[in-house]
Parts: sequence; structure tokens; C-alpha cells
Amino acid sequence: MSGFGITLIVVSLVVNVVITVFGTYYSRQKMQNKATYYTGGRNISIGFLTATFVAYAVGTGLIFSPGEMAYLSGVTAMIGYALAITLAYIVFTPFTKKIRSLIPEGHTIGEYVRVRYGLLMYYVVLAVSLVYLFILFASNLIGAAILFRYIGDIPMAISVLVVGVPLIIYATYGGLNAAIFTDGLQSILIPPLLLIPAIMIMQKLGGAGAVYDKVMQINPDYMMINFKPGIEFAVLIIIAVSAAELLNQALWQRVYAAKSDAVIKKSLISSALMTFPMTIVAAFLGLIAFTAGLNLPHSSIATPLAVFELLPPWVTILFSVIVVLGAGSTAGNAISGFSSSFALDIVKPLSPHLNSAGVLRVARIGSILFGIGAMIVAYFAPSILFLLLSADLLASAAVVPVFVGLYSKKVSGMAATIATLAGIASGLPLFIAGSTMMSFVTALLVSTAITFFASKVSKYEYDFADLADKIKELSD
Amino acid sequence: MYYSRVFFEWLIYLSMAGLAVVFGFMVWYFIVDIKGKTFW
Repeated sequence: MSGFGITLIVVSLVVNVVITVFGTYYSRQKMQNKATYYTGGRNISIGFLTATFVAYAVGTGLIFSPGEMAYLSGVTAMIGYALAITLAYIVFTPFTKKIRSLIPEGHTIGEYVRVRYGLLMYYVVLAVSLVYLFILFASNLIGAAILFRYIGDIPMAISVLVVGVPLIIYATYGGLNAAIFTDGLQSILIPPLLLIPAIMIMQKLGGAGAVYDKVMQINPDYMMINFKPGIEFAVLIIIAVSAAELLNQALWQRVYAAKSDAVIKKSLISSALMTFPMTIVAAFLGLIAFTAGLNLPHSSIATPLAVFELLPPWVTILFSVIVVLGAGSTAGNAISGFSSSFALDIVKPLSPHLNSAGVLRVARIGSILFGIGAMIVAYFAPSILFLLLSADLLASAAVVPVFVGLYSKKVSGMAATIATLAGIASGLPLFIAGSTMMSFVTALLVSTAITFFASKVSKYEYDFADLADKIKELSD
Repeated sequence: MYYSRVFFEWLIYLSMAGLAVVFGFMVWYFIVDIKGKTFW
């Protein structure tokens, strides 16, 4: 372990302690009842809600994966990734009003699926959702850990613990309010901490035009608009991220937490526009790693390696603050999203006699176990992009059946389950075989086709009033 | 067909400017929100 590595650890611990202390204090002040833990008291305003959507998007996935793809496939992949996150939020916006109007006292995506479609589809979607949250947390830990490992020369086990343990503490004890509060802080700090390294590198290299010239010199394919790997990646990442975000418990939680429909709509559109430039700048740093001829010890490390190799050490330390904050924000949201699903969708239905204080206790225990599991996966450090895409594939198969249920009375639980499982079964072999784009397109098309076929031929009719009747506020 | 140099430069510089705008925006909202809150 180098001296620089020790500095990184200390900085990371200080950052985590600060946000843990403030986040936990804030959540204690705000905790009116157990429901507040899950949905923030349904009173979150535009400012914090926008901040939380922005900070949520700026996790390790954003900081590491766009750079990885720009390094591997050039500018079209870079733009595709930026569009993916932006479009995901925009696509989600029109559904939020429907969700809030049908289920005004909702908490999770799981309870909607259970009431609308029954137990079978509920377990399928729950599995998809929990796998996704787990992978999200693990991938964020990997991002921070590989930065410490390859730049600070810190053993993986220590990196994972230094990042993971404070996150588990603040998210477990603060719930959604803690995650949202620290999102507010992080979303203020992340833009300048991304911008400063970008400006300094640009000054050193002679501007964006100089980078363009260098790319054209080394591999002009990277600047080709219709470069096949870039286009394929753009298509798949747009489907992948949109599907995943539409089913994301952390986002559904925020839909329920907002003060009003107008707040949600403005927050999502604002944050959709804001994440685009952030992704471009993060990806640009990966492109710079390519032009500098840097060899990557891990596929996901292009962006921080560019900062480390080209700029003074203090800039890397600042960048590591973004990485820890970004990982903290997204991972904190994942834990908070997991704990509400775990408590309300798994434990409460299995133990209906348990009061909400008991459920809360179980939620916290579940979060700790979830966190420990993710830290174990992070220790082995698979590619962040590969992990995220595998979770996204499951979401791509489930998203249309789930959302059609909000609009069509004719789709039954059995039809939705068959559509989802068929989508997964058709897409997974292609994904494993390496045809990543085709796997996503196939999963989406198969599940969509079956869902719409069922809605046309079925005699089944669902009463939407059932949703509001059965899904009620937690009161004790 | 390639992205032009001018397009690429605009993309990067506008994104960097956008990031600065995002920062200002978040600070403004944070201040506005804090005034309405009582947790301090």
C-alpha cells in the first residue's frame, strides 16, 4: 500500500463519516413514523427530488462505464450512453402520474405487482428487482474499490470495507430520508469535482479539437457516426437502462415520496437534461485515456486512470471524492430501495402479525446482509458494465408486462408471468453467447408480443379500483 | 461518415458548460429548499 493509497483511504473515510453523520441526523429529525422511513413522509419537494434523481444517476455506473465504452468503441457509444440515462428518466415521466393516481398510498413496485397480478408474477418481478438492486450496489462498490486498488495500490478487501461499511450504516439507519439528504449534498459536489479534472486535462492537451485530431490519427473508426460497435452499444444501452429504471424500486419509492405530480414531472425532466452533460464529460475522460495510450488493468478503470496519469495527485484525490460520493449516493439508494422491498414485499406478507416496528427491524437486518453480500461480490471485481447489463436484461423482459398492467384490464397475472419468463428465456442464451444487443431486443420483443397478444384474446378483466383499496398507508 | 471536429468540440464544451449550470442550479435549489426546512 502506498502513501498515496493511505491518503485516499483517509479522504474516503472522512467523506463517508461526514455524510453518514449528517444523513443519519437529518433522518432522525424527520422520522415522524415508520412510513417516513420508506417514503420520506410523501413530502419531498422539487429541489431535493431533482437532486436525488441527479445524484442517483451519477453513481459508479456513470463515472466508470461511459468512459469504458468510449475507450472501447468511440464517440457514438459515448453519446448513446448519455442518451440512455436521459431517455430513461423521460420515458418514466408519463407513467408516474398513472402510478400515483391508481396507488396514492403506495410504497413499492412489489406491492403493485402483487395486487395487480398475483403472487407468481410478484415473485418474478421481486427477484428481478432485488437482483438489480444487489448488482447496482455491488457495481458501485467495485468502482470505488478498483480505483483504490489500481491507483492507490490498496488491497481489494480494505477498499471494499472502507467504502461499503459507512454506506450500510447510513442507509440502514436513515432509510430514504438519509439517502435523499446525502443525495442533495452529493449532487452539489459532484458536478464541480467532475468538471475540474476535465478542464485541467483539456488545458494540458490543448482542447477538445486536439483530442479529436488524436483520435482520428490513432483510430478514425471511433469518430465514425455509424461505427457498428458504437451503434449496437447505443441501442442496447438505451433499452437496458430504460427498462431497468422503469422497474427500479428506488425510483418508484421517489415517485411515492414526491409532494405532487407536478413535482415529480419537473424533477424527472430537469434531472434527465442534467445527466446528459455529466455522462458526456465522464465518457470524454475515457476517450482521453484511449488517446493517451493507457493500458487498462481493469476494463472499467479508463476514466480515473486518465485523471491519475495526466494530472497532479491532488486532482486524483478530488476525483476519488466524486467516486466515493457517487458510489455512496447510488449504493445508498440501492440499500434503501432493497430494505423497503425486503420488509414490505417479503417479510410482511410472510409474517402478517408483525407490526411495523418489527418490520422496520427486519428491514435493517436485511439491509446489512444485503450489504455484506454485495461487498463479497465487489471483492472479486467483475466488469461493472457486464454486471449492470446482466441485471438490465432481466428488467427488459419484465418491463412491458408490468407497465401494461397499469393501462390494460385484460392482461392477467398468468399472461404477464409467461411473457416475462419467455422474454428472459429467449434473451439469456443470446447474452451468454455474446450477442448482447440482440439479447436485449429479443427479450423486449418476445415479452411485448406475448403481453399484447394476451390483451387482445383474453376475456379476463381487472378492476383498477382494487389497487387503491388494497394498498394502504402504514400507520403504526 | 464522421462526426465533424466542430461538432465534437461543441459537444464537449457545451457539456462542460452544462455541468457548470447543473452545479449552480443544484446550489440554488438546495438553498431555496433549506430555507423552507427546519431541520438545522
